[in-house]
This record gives sequence, structure tokens and C-alpha cells, in this order.
Amino acid sequence: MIQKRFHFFGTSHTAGGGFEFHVNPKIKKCYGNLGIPNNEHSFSYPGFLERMLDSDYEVFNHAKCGYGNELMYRKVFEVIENPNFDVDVDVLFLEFSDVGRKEFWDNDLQDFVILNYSFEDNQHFGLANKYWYDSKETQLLLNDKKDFYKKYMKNCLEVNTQFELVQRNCVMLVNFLQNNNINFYITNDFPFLKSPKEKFTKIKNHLIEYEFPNSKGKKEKSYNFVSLTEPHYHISEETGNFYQDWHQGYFVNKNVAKIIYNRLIDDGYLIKLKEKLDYNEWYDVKKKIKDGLTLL
Amino acid sequence: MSKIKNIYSFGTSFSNAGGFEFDRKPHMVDFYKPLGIELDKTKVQYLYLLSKLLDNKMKCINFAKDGFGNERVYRKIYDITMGNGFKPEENLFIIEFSDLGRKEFFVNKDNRYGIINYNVKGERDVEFRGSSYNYTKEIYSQNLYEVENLFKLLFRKTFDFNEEVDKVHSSIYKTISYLELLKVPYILLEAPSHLYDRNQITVLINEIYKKRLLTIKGDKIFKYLGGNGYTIKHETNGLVDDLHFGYHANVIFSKMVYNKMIELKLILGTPYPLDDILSNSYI
Repeated sequence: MIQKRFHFFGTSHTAGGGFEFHVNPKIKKCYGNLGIPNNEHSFSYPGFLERMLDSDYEVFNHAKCGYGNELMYRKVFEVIENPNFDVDVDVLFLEFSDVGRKEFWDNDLQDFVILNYSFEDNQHFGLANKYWYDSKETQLLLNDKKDFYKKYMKNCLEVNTQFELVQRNCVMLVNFLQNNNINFYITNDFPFLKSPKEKFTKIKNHLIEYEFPNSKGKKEKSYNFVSLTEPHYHISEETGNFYQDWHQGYFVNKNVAKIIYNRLIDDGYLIKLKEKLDYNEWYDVKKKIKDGLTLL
Repeated sequence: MSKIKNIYSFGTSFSNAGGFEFDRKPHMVDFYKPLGIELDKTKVQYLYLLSKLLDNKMKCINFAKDGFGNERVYRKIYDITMGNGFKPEENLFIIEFSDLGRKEFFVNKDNRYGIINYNVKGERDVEFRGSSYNYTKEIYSQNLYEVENLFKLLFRKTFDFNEEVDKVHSSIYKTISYLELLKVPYILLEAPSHLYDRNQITVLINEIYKKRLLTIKGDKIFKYLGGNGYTIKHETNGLVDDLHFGYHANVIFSKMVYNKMIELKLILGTPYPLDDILSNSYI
């Protein structure tokens, strides 16, 4: 009998971004022999958590590279409105993104596409259905649409209004979950917690606090594991710059999973002994990767 | 004594006495003058009529805007509730949620929000009806015109009826939950038809919102009044071809809200009997 279903939502940081084994053989050379299935989910923190749990706990990773909050709002409602949804069984884990991601339905593809953009950097502009998985045909189709979306962005997306929109939608989603007694955690901070406007959100109980040593070895705490661990625990660093990628690597994702696991024990979702956090594993992982590369 | 100090209304032209543009429709003056009412659109709005029923003891602020819809409603509700010194118990929100057919957008060059109105023609097809920053004070803007054309293309590329319906219903659920959690008193003048009972969560939310929704004889108030001859067209015996609600409908809205305020224990008073409310003998 299923005791709990854990649903993870978010961006590439939750989806296992950086571990696209099928894209670049360098990833396989670095991580292919660590005894873990060679795919994004298995190397994501939900994937690590899944392997720590008994079979009566299920993990669903709804996160998607490049996508942001709009995917999360949509998927959260899909989960919540499922006839089998049960507030005593289902637990949600939300990784909020910032501005710079806008989702559209695409009538040609009959699926959603994501527009990635930056208000500061005009060069940063992407449009994809599934980053790393889009076929050549899909890429060509979307390339033809890029100029249109650039025009749309230039004419209709403004930094302050987009910021307000993201803020409002985040607060409203969280309040919706709170008001309906839906169990949830916020896995990577609330983007606007420092705002004085947080007065109504009362979200601290839902945040997860992480601890990692900084680049000088001193332990630091934060609700935001992404900013806490960058850039010194990126895949680039973990692989000794053999493979360049700015996502968190094996070490971070494994320890994020352990921290979430321990939190679930604290909150009574699991009756287990807590996992010990071993920060020296960073050096072990780096060595394993380096040794593996040397043997090639 | 009531704690309510401010009453805010949100919605479309239906909450804004749409159709009563006396300055643009002089023939309406001839028809409505004998009623002895103030021939000014803002004085026909149900919120103004409600303020009179409440002896002007509460500050009434109307955020409804002709042509605009839910996106403006969410935005304004959030702005007000996040304002400094906002005390939920001192405020009543009266909300008219709209259906599909309205898309708010921001025009960077003019630094303001505009609205596009459309009819759904099929699952992936729409028919444009117009766009504006403010339908009642038409100002030509080349920037708005360009964005409208952009949106015509955008809709062709991205419009999907089912996705839009999903967005509307999840946004309304979030807004209702937000107000519930904040304990802001609210009344629903209208809600769209897409709020289905899908599971235990939606059943619960639907039960909550139905307690706040104005109904007449089991129908949503818009449906009842629209189907029973309470439009401007009916009220003027076809003289004015406008299907917005007539003056009597606005009186009914004000009295139904008043009664709901009593039911929700927001004010003390005696409810108006429904038969008296619906009687249009003075029209």
C-alpha cells in the first residue's frame, strides 16, 4: 500500500539538468560508472531521494529543463485535481523560478513551449518544447518563430510588471495550498521572501534549510540550495572542468536529497534513522570522476 | 456596528454600468430621465446604489472597467491586499469574475495595460472584437494598434480553448483561496461556468464559493437577470440595442449584495424581500 506520493516541481535544478547523458559523451565519461542509471532524473535530487525510500513511497518528478513557474502551476493543478489526489498521501515540493521564463501553448506542436529570456542580456533567448530532446524538425519550426516571440517580448514584457506577476502568482499558489491543507515544501526558497510584502504568506514552515561548506570550507545555511552551492559545487568544478555545466552536480543533489529525507523524518512522513551528511564525499566524488577519466 | 469601512468592486462593464454612456447616447437620456435618476454612468453603477442603501457610511471604490476581465481583477485584488495598513476585516470585495474572451496585456511603449476582447469560434480559433486601454475614453495609440496585431498572430499560434479554461479556473480557485486565507470578506457577483467538481479539493472550494455567490431562484444572478428581461434592450422596449444590464438590474444587484452582507453578518439590517427586489413596477 502506498504511504506517500512525493511530487517534485521546478526547473532544471530539480529535473536533473546537466545530466543529459544522450547529448554529450563527456557526461557519461564522468558519471557513467557511479552505479546510477544514466539519466537526468536519476542524478537529480528527487532521483537520489527516490532511491533512499522504501517501495511504498513514490516519487514523481514533474520538473522540466528551461521551464518555470507556469509549468509548475499547471502541473500542481493536474496533480491536485486528479481523482486519486489525497491530502493525507500526496506531498508537493515546489522549486520556484524567477522572471525570464514564459510558457505558451503551441498549436503547431500541440504541446507547450517555453520562452527563456533576459531583461539584461538580449542575447539570452531560447525557445524549446523539450530542451535537449527536441527533434531537428521541432527546432526548425521553433527557430522560425523566434523573431515573433522576440517582438512580443520587446513590446509586451516589462521587468516590473513581470516581477509583480511572478510574485503575485507565487503568493497565490502558496496561499491556495495552505488554505486547502495541502502538504507542501518549498525546495529552493521563496523568490520574494525578503520583500516586506511577505506578511501574508506565512511560508517559513514550508521552507527547507540546507547547509553546505562554502568555497573556503566554512559551513553556511540557506533556504536556497542553488545559490548556496554555486559556483563551487557546479558540475564544471566536480568534473575538474572536463565537462562545463553550471548545474549542481552529483554531490549537491545527493546531499539535498539527504537533507529533504531528514526533514521528512522530522515532520513525521518517514519513520527512519536520519541520514548523516558527509561533506568529505565531495572529494571522494571528484576523485572517482578524475580516476575514471584517467583510466579512459 | 459593522467593521467594514471600504467596499471594493471588481469586474467588467457589467459592474461598471456598461451601456449607460449617456454622453454618447443622447436618446437614452429621453428614456431614463422620467425615472428621476441621476443621468450619469457612475450613478447607475450598482456600487453607487449600494452606497446609498448603506447611507454612504462605507467608502465604495469601483475597480471594474469596461471590457477588462479576470486578469485585472487578480491584479487589483493583490495590489489592494498588499497595500500598507490593509486590514482584511475592514474591507469587503465584491467580485464579478468573467469568462473567456478577454486578454489583458501590457504595452511597454505606452507603459500601461490594455485589453483585447474576442469571441471563441472553435477550440483553436477566435474572432477579434476590439482592443483598448479604456473603452469609455477612446484614445488612439499606434503602439496599442501594433500590439493588437501582434496578439492576433499570437492567438493564432497559441490559443487553445481547453488550456484557457484550465487557466481561468485555477486562477479563480487561487484567488478565492487567497481571500479565504487572508480572511477578507467577499461576495461573488458572478463566476464562470468552468468550476467543476473534480475531486475532494474542488468540491470543497466550490462549496465555499457558492456560499458567496449571488443567486436568484437557484440561478446565478447574471443568468437569471439576462434570461428574464433585465437588459437595457428590454428595459427600453428595444429602443436601445444594448444587452448590458439595465437600471433595474443594477438596483437588484445593489439590494442582493445588501442582503448578502446581512447574511454574512457584515452588517445588521432587514433583508429586502426577493419579490420586492424583482418587481419592476417603478420602471
